[in-house]
Amino acid sequence: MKRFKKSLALLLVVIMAVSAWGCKKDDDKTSTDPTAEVTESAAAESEEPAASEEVSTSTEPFYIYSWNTELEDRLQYFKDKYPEYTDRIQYVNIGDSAIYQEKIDGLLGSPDSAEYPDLFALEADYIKKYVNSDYTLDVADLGITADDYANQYAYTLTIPTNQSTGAIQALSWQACPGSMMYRRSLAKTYLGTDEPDKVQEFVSDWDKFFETARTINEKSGGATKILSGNDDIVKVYLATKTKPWVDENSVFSIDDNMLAYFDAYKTLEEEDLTNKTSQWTEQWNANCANDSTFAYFGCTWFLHWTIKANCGGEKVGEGTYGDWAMCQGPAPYYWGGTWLAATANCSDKQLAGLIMKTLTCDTETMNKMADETLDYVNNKEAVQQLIDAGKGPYEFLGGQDFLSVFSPLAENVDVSWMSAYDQKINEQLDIQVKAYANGEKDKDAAIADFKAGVADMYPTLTVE
Amino acid sequence: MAGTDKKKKGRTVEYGRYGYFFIAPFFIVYAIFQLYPLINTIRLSFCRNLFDAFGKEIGPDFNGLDNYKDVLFGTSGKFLDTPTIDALSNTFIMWFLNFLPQLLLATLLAAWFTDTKIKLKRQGAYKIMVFMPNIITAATIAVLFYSLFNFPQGPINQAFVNAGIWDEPFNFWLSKWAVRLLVAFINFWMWYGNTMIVLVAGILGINPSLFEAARVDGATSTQIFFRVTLPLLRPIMLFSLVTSAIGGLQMYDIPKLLTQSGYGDPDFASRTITMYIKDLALTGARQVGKASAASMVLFAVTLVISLVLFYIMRDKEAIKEKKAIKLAQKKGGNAA
Repeated sequence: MKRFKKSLALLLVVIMAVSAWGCKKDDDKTSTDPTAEVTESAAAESEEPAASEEVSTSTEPFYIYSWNTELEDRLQYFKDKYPEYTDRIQYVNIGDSAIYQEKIDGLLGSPDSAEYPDLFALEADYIKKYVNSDYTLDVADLGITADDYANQYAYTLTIPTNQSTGAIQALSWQACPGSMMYRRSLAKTYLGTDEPDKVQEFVSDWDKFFETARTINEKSGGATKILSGNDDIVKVYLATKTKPWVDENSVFSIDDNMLAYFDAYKTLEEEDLTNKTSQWTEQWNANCANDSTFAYFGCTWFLHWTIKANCGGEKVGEGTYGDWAMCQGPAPYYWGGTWLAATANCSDKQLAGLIMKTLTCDTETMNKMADETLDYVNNKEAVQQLIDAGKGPYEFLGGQDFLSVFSPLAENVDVSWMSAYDQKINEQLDIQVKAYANGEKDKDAAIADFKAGVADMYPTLTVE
Repeated sequence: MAGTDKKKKGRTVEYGRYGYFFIAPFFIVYAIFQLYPLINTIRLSFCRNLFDAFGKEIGPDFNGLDNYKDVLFGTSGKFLDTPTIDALSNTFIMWFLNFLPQLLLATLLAAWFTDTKIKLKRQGAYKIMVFMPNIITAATIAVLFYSLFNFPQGPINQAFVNAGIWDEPFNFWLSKWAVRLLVAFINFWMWYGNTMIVLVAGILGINPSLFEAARVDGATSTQIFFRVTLPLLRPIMLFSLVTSAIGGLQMYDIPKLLTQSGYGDPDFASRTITMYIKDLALTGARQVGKASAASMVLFAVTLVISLVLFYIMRDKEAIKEKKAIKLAQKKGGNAA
């Protein structure tokens, strides 16, 4: 009898605990009438373009994931315009881009989780992996039409296109065309001119670029090198690929231009043409402020947040501030960029559509964003308005109009060489190129190891 | 009659049962977080399970020994010429380079600290200093060493160049052996204090009258150390050897964080087996099956090394004694 009582008490406790837990869940999830929500989203789907203007009445938290505070800052523009959603938006900053994908992969794999992302940020290096999958939604399903993103640069729409269905599954608020940013005073000393058009002639292709690199090295007696590190050229070289690493038949092949990259890197290393710093190291950053480095390959955000931040001054005359200029360099390329995508089980497509539309299509908001943050926005109309308003000439670049330089570069970016495998393959490439340049192995061995590394990472690929 | 008996029996046993309830949480947690993953790893190592570039899971389908073939023979078909085995040998090299000096130094320090003849003063302070590196997180130490040995203008490079010892800075991160030695050194520096504490505890556990007796008999400190301390320290030595071997084979944080790419630069020279397993299972094509097979290889190697250590360090005298007793018993039995 005693035992029965005890078990009964235990059973009651368990039942109570379970029901208490169940109640808590109810509070979180369905405080609004569930039927009302269903009809509403049904209505939203039937009258698409108008839907996003409607005020969503859901009060569920809306989760947005990213790896730093950049998107959070940009979201402020949305919150300013639509303050009624401020409380619902839960911004989750993973804080480390190295583990971001692992975290997101885990969350996307468990759609029932309370913290399932509704919107998440994607970087160019791995965006293909997600937009080619069913994990992200076609922006058309969110009520965003081709007219809405008509002002975006073509390449920013090519990248997030699902390669099997042709649907656009993410949108970006920034365009990141790359240029070569060089020091005016050093250009005058070693090349005899600091005019962007004339400097461009010295670096218009890779042969000329290396010639100029040697000239600068010789004339300065080794005190000034054309680049800070050997790695600096990789982004530009990758953009010159004529085909993607992996084609539509899952065949991996190495482009001739990438074979040339092996030798280019070795030339830089052997002839001491750079300062041999690694990207993003303290020394690499510090070289923005001294005369040891002639140029950096950088893009829109790089100009403001890397070179300007490390130039050692805040106005003309301090550090290298004002002593910079931009030209295109040996090849057009782009570097980075962040896209926004809605997840397959997004809890509120209306809100997702509204956020994406506001941040990536709305000219007025983007104009304001560009003006206040100096970000180069992905909106031709907004950029043109800024150029017309005379916002382009930039003291940091000695008065050069950075918007007018980037604008044609952004139009010329070609991204037909991208594939879903790029990030991992580029990492393998990097390791082998370094081993080759340091004389640890010959080119054939390095290429063979590169192929073996790719095959080891992706067993489903056919490696030629 | 029988009924009351049963009841009585049940009541006496009942109290003992609570003990099981108290230890149940451990077993439940162990079963969920250790035992199940363990069994699942064995299962997955016989399955093809990976993700394609579009994020779709393939498998898990049973594919026999294919993963093991892949891990041990690779695509070239040459036995042991695979990234798994390379990673395993890297791990072994770096463990060996760190463990040998670590054990020597720890034993020496432990002997000094416990020597009743020297009677070292301020022992606490020394022990804290020696143990200190172990308290700092591995991530911090890795970042610290990365900046220290930075190229071209890290403090070490600057110091050597300014002192005129080197003509130009040396890029440690591009040299296979420099990186391996650095990893080994960091592990050595972090763990010798820990090993020392364990050994000090072991030495203090030895009956002091043995040392006194040896001293009375006129033994020197060296003789005492080699003839008394070391033989009696054998079980503790075995303990620290086995734990260090298991820990060393799972080396992950230092080599992962020390190099810039996180792939064990340069050219995978410092990539350990756990780093490789993690890369296989969580990045790229997320080859869970192959990663499980690599884990099983690691398990097998760990097991073999532990068994070998147990065999080498076995107490030969005790075994001989046991045998002698058995023999004597047998003989005695026969005689009777």
